[in-house]
Amino acid sequence: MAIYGVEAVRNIINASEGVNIKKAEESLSFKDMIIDALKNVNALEQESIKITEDFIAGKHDNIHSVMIASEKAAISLQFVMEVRNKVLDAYQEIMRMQV
Amino acid sequence: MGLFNSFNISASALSAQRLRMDIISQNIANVNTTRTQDGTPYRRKTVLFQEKEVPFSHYLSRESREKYLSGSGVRVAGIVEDTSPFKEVYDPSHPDADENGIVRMPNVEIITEMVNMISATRAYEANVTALNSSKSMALKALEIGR
Repeated sequence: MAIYGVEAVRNIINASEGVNIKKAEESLSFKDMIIDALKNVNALEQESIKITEDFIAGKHDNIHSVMIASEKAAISLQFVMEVRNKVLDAYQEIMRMQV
Repeated sequence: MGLFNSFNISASALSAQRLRMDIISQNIANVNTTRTQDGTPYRRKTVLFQEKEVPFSHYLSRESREKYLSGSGVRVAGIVEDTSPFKEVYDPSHPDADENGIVRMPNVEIITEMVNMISATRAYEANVTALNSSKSMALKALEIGR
């Protein structure tokens, strides 16, 4: 006995698979994206450290630039942590799936 | 980077207000200075602010596809001297007095400087508040879906 309603869904799945594969090849992989984001955060952290050290060493006297650099680094780090949490949540949701 | 654009704008304003504060301090410090390197009494200085130009590289970069440019903050165009006349005070015992006993004093009004100082402090505060607001907006965005 054929269930026609479900058969129609399979057609859609087949059609969408082709599209998805194409997209994945074109775009950046998720791993690369995460690594890029981490590199960006690391650069901001390094900049913050450098500005703080320069300030302590007396190379410049802009208190606000020290604070702003550390804020930038903190916000970026928080953003990456948020993305990581979302990914882990999704992973755990899938692992909890009944098979 | 788009997220930190408002940070950079506020940072430029903070630097500008700090320089303005430096100049006001210099004016107050020299309120009684009758001799400078030019031989004249001290002239009051003011800071000239200018909108910071969008760098040319911006137009070439990918970001320039955005329809609207928010600008990139403020910069100091220069420090100009106030050309208003010096105050003349009669004080024959002063070493810099002329033959009639008149001493030319700087054209610094301490009251004006105090008001400008309040203005600079408040402007600095306003920019810090703007910066904190953009920070809390960014942090609020991270709470989406939590």
